[in-house]
Amino acid sequence: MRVAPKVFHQSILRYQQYRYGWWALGLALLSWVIYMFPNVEQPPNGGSWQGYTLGTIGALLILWLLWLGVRKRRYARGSGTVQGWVSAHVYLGTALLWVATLHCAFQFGWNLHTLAYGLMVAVVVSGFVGIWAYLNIPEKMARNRGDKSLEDTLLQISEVDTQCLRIAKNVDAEIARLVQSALDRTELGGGFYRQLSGRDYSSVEVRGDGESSTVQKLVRNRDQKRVIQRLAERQSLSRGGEETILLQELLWLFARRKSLLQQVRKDVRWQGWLQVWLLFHVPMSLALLVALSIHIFSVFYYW
Amino acid sequence: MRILVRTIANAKKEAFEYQDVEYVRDSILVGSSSKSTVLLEGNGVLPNHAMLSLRRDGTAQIKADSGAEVKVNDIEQRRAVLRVGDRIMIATHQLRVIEAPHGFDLALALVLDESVEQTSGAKDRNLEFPLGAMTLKDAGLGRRPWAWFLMMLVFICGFAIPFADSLMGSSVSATSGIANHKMAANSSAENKFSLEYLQLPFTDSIWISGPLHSVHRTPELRDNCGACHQSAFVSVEDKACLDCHEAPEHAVNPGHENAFSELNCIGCHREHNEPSHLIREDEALCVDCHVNLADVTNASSELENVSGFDTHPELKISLLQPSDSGWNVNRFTLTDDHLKEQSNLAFSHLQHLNPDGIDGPDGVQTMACIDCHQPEQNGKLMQPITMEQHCSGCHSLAFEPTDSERQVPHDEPAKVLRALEEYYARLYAIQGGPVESVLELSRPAQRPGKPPKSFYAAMKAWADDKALDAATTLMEESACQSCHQVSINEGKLGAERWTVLPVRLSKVWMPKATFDHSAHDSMECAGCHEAEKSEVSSDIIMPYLNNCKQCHGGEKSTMMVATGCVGCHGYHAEN
Repeated sequence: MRVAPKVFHQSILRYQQYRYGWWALGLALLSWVIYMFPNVEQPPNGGSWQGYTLGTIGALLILWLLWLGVRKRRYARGSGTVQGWVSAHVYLGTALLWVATLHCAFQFGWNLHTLAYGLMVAVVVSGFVGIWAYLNIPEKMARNRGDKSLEDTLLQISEVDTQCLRIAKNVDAEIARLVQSALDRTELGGGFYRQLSGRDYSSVEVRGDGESSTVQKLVRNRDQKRVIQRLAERQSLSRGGEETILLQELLWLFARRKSLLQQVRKDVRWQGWLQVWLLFHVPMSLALLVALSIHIFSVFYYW
Repeated sequence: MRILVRTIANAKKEAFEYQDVEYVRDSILVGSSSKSTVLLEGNGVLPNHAMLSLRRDGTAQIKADSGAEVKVNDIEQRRAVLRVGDRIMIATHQLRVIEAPHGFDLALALVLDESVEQTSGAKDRNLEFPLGAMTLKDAGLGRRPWAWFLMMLVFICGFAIPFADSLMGSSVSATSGIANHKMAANSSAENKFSLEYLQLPFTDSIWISGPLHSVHRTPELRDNCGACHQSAFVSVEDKACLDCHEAPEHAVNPGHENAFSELNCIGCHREHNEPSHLIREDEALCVDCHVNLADVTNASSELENVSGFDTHPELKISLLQPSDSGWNVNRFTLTDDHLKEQSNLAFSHLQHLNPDGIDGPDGVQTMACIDCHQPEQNGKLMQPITMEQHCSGCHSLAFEPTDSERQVPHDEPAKVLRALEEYYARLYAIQGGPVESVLELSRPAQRPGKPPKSFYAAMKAWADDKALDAATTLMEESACQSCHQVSINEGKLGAERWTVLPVRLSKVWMPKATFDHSAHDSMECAGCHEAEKSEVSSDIIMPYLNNCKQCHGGEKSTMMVATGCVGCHGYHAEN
């Protein structure tokens, strides 16, 4: 379980003995040769024959890289394997940085052309984050999940919750109320930050200080700490017998609940990190397609 | 009615589990839609697959949706009355009618086909707390809205606004150039006013592919792409340049038009480059054609082929040569035999630059080149040499030994003679008779009444005589002879006795080059001009190409001063 995902994901880079790595290196060298070809008429720039050649290579490369989005949606159809496509996507996408930089001959300005370049860089760099994610996260996820699905874990939580409620009712009203509140006010999932940070924002209503206090106050219950603490306090005051056993059982259930919730949070968090780079990579690559089209249009419109 | 649905999981295993759910409603829908009471999944399950309901007599019935396959006891039926023990197959799931417990009208046992993936199993769990979004997509962070937003943003800012600006601007500039632009700026004042409402946040200048050359950053050009880019999808045409600039000479050399017919301005002058590089300076600019001029000019050019600085032919000079009709300029190679300057000036550089000095009005003085050859204001060429400015300090045109202050004008013999006659006549008039020495003019003539006629005749005779003597001395013995070639016309009288050959010095020896003396001011003059050895004015002391090659090399030279063609020649230089 530990090893399998790593081997699979690394093989995207190692695919066919780094075949596409060599391709990318070849492309980079070819671009360099084109760039260095002497041009006496003007300094290197996108408007020289070298510039047009490198620009054409770069534009075709971008279209091909975008095509991965189409190719991967038809897993079994089309030439080559999706794994091979992804490997080539990674290496040739990296080479694009070099090709495009030579195309513009290191000339940048506050204009649309540099916007297109910037989007290209942002897409490639977010792709690097994606490679890191794909090489590291699946292993962590697999280790966290074991052989269960997220749905299995949620079902387990649901079962634990049912047991907690059943037992809590048999202790006394305060414990029943405490447990019900801890369950009700459990926070799992949520927005962008909550998912990616994996922070626990659960809370619980506990009885105020003092033996006879009837005031309920809402307090943080990160990692079920507060409810476990309260149950432990109650257990220490307990005089043995059934109540002690029930409280012991509740403590055990909440400890399990804590680890199950953590497992879900980690899963959501890793899943989020596995996805979040795509939130940048994909929309920006489409914005790049628009910017690239305008770039090509504008340079010929104002030839 | 009250219906009990008992879902049995792991039915084939020993420890099977079941879950009872109770419904109180008139009918229950079995299908794959989210509205279904009993949700089934898998191939063959339609959204509203079958409806179970109670009949008036208390028995239950099942009704299949159109197109849905429902088998009751292995027989496909559209509608059937159900009895305890009936087995209903909905796709691969089995529904059995079981004995209804007390208080229930109908009880069904659902044996799920567990090979069908239970993607919506979550429906079965019963969490005590509301579950937040578990994926970024559920949290409203899908890629698609972002993608659309970014694409629209880039499209509007990168295309729609600048393109609108270019279309609006075209009314001003498309007709062509600055001249029209200026006119249009006035005439379209009203037009512009109406466009104020459409004031765009920025212009099509965000399409600029590189900075404008600093000479083009004028108010008319910098925000007005259309001033130069006059036609869409057509590269900048010559007329855009010629709106402001003169037509270049080189491209219209008579007889050479063909050679330049395919060249346009932007072939050489590229804008928006970094580093700014508006003017080509590479040798290929010239050498592409000049390496084989015969081909390009149909053998009409007299110029030699050249492939670069290293193969440049020996330098040529433009030499002034006197002719019957004046002065002709003829081109010679510096190495031509017997090449002599014919300025008609008698002059020795050797004599003037004598390191021991030369006699001057204030005694012996040592002269330097700069005493006569002073650069023009731009430092490139030298100012012309004039008698008055450069020679007269030493070379006096005085004629009367007793009056060294007075000099004749530096002019032709007739004018010189006239000036002398007037000078002596005046002396006679003042003195009232012949004057031996100007020093004697202390006694003014005090004779009352008009002088007799004979006085004037005597005065003229005396003055003419004295003037002719002085002129003869100047022309034939002293001042003029120093520098000029004066020929004596025997038998002629008066000023016609002498012919002074006209002097003309070359101002520009190498007019086809753009030599800059100021760029070479760290050198000694003698580094190029061997004036100190020149005894006669007919010596040509212009440097040979080898002299330049001591410091200059071709454009790719790394050890010498790299010099391309335009280092010395202008492409658009006049012929």
